[in-house]
Amino acid sequence: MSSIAILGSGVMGSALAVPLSDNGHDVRLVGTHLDPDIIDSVAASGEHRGLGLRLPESVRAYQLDDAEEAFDGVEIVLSGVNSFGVRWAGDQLARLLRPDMLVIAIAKGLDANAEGDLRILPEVLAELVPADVHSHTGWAAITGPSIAGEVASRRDTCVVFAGEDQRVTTAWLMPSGRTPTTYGRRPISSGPRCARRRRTATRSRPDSPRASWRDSVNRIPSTAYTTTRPPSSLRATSRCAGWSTYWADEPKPPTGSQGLGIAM
Amino acid sequence: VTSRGGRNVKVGRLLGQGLVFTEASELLGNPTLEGAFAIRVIGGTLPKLTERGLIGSDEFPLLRHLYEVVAEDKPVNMPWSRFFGGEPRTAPATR
Repeated sequence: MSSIAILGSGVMGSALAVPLSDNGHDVRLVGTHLDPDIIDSVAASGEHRGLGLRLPESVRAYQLDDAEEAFDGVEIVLSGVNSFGVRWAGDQLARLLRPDMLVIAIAKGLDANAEGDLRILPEVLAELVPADVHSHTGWAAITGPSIAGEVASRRDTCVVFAGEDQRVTTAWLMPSGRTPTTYGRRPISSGPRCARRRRTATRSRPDSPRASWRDSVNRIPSTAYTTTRPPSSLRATSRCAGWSTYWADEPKPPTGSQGLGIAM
Repeated sequence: VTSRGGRNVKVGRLLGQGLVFTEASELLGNPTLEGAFAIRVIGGTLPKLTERGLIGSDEFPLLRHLYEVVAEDKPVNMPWSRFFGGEPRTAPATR
């Protein structure tokens, strides 16, 4: 179990609180200056209006003013703001991060300078943190193809963790002791558990198609899913997305994303 | 997955139906569109990178058009003939 602070209680940051909490992590959700109402609501009842559901009871909600308390002693920090908030988040992390914390950035996208050179947003985020802290923290990124609503309602989906330092992506979410490169609430590969789900779903259908299907999905054990063998389509998607992604069961490629200046 | 229900895809569908970007975005309540923003950022670098000689003026036809659609509100008119290096200028000789 790890202690995890999520900075930003928008839909994706909050959605990720669900599988993290399901996996037994100590999750602390910290709202931005735009989120006081969300945090009040989550603290009072767990209700997150943006997602339209209740977050697990174990998720603790903090207003931005209490961010230092939330960050106290955490091992992992999830930067849960979108691409427009990256610079804001960087300024916050500059005061909140402590050496040895691992940072996972959610915001996708690129930033351009006046000359037209592009950088990925996790680099922009990391750059805002003072060098003495930066050099003692780990940095990685998380990307889809999931959308927040799917993650929060525990649908079959997956996310990809990527980073230049595999120790960071490996240290993240390892309940099984294996090397995770993808993570989801439930199996998404065409492995035996997935096949079992399909059979169950088909069997249940005659009574009341929709309700039975949902019930059958809910009967699937809700353990964490980690694998070193993600589907090839997922690998392709991740590579197309331009992250410097590699998989634990493959040799490390010699270079990162071409043209983005990412050395691996 | 995002390709089925994401906000950017919803805008894309409306664009495909003939709306321009600002109309499509407004119809959806002007949501945060990170994909469209990424097109703005990346597409905005293309003239600079072209000028610096890092890319050719005929490269990235799709991205250049997406930039016109998102940043300049032009209607979608995919430059299919310019993809993958462009169609040959003259039809291949038939035998």
